[in-house]
Amino acid sequence: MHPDPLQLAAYLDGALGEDERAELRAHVLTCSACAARLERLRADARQIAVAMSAAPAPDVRAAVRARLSRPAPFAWLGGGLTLAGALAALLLFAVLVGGRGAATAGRAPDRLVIADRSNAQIVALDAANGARLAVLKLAEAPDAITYDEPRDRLYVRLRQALIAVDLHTFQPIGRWDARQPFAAGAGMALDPRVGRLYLARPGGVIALALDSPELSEVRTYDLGQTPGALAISPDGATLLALNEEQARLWTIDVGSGRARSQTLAPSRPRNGYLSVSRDGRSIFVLLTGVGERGDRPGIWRVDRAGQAEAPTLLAQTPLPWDMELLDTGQLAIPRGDGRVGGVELVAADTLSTTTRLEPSYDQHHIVAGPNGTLYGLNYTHATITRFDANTGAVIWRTPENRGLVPWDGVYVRGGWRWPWWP
Amino acid sequence: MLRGLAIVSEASARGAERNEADALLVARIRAGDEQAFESLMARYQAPLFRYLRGLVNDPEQAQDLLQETFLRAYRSIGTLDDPGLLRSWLYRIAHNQAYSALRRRRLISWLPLTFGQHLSTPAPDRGAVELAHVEEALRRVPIQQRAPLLLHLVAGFSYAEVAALLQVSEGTVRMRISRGRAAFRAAYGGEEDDDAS
Repeated sequence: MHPDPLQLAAYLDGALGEDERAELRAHVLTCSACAARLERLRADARQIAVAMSAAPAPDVRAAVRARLSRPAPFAWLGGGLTLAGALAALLLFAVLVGGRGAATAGRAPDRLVIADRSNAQIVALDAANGARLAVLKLAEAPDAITYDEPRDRLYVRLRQALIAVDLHTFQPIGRWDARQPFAAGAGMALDPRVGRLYLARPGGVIALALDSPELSEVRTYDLGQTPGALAISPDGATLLALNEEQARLWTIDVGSGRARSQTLAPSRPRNGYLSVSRDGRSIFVLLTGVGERGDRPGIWRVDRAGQAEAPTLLAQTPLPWDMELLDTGQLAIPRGDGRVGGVELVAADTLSTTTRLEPSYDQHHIVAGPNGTLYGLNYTHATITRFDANTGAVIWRTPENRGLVPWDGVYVRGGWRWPWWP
Repeated sequence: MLRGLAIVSEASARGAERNEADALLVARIRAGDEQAFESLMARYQAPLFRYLRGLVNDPEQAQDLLQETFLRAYRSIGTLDDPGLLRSWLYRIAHNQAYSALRRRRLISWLPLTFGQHLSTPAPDRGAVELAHVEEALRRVPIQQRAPLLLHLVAGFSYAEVAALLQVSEGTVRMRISRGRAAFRAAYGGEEDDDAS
């Protein structure tokens, strides 16, 4: 006699008596049909967890702030306000009006958050002037950092783990441990819409769910090779992965897991970087060591169907170290040989070089800000330089070797402090 | 200063760390820290929204209820006895909001809850289609079973935590969740998904 579905479910939830549980367990061990039904119940649980965790969630903070700053009409008359409540309201009012000056009310500054591998720390700087705002010391060196705007969090990749950092408290709030160490240049790609973070791992890509109670692995994409740079289309449907040494680019359909790949150049040791245009129609691939003699950097534009145009070759030296798409429609490519280099700006539509910012000073990583602002990170001289791509000007540079060696970074837009007070 | 990051690897340690972070957050809100409530909303709006959406089957209503949940949380944060239980407390507020809304809806429409008209149109990507199917099957799970099922499977609360949150016994929670699993299976059963990923 087979157990009914309710008995099988009760078995999973420990809702059976001891005898009934033992009887059912013995049955399931010998009845493949019931074992399969039990497994389907377990699979249902996983399906519910994954599907519901993937539901897109709105950002209601602005609406709540607005409602909190607007007193409810006649609230004083209707609710039978107690003396304690009245005193609490008066106290809150006094704090808001009397205690808070213009210095704390208003917009929190835009920040530049830097991962410093040499000193095992994350440092927040004022994006306007480079002033240091906060420091988080880590037990391990951070290798890469990304910013999740809807959740107001940073994700920091360590050698074999990922931590989530709350931006307001600047404290870690979650950790996920990988089964094996990441490769040195393992990239991350974030889909904030559904709360997925993709990480390049040995043999493929792993997806983490960001809204489950703990950071948790939800899916893997096996590619047979280890990718470095990752990027995701703005609609979250297509994931791109690049193995730079093989010059191999994968286009992965996130939903079905189907992956297609193409080889853009002969294999050789080299660096490689990825960017996706804001409309998601163009993917830009930068590889070093290409061209007839295999000694020049080249940029490919690839459409969403995976069709790659012939590469545009760039000047041979100094070597490029990164590529970032700016909101001016230019690709910013830092170059450096330890002495000189600058930031090459390439028009994304024509792939022609428009200018090179400060070629007398080398740069290794780019953080893109708004309105053509960009920051060059130099980890040999340990400096951060702010540029204006519109005018080509250097706005400021932090002093060399002041205890901050910038390796990777993100731009974090400021927001209205809560509660907003007009 | 980061405390013991290297040894934080077990779920219990993570839970304790989260409770500690929540307690700190509550203390800061009570002290008038302007950004702490912003931080609370950023941390909890997505999981609370998904719980509400699962209960009321209507994204727009879930969004309204989420705002209401935060407003009530802000106004009554002084009454939270154990700040380390912030997460459970927020879910409880959200749960009560949803139940009130469902009662209102039932009174207004005279329709059984399983006839909700808010089936969202699935977007053409697979994740959204799966979500729509799961939501459709969940809709057929009675609300008394659906609530503990979502709290346990999606929000990750233990049976004991769900029992405390819903103010029923742990045995009742186990029974309701297992009934919910069986009801979900009956609704979802026709679609065997052999596509291993």
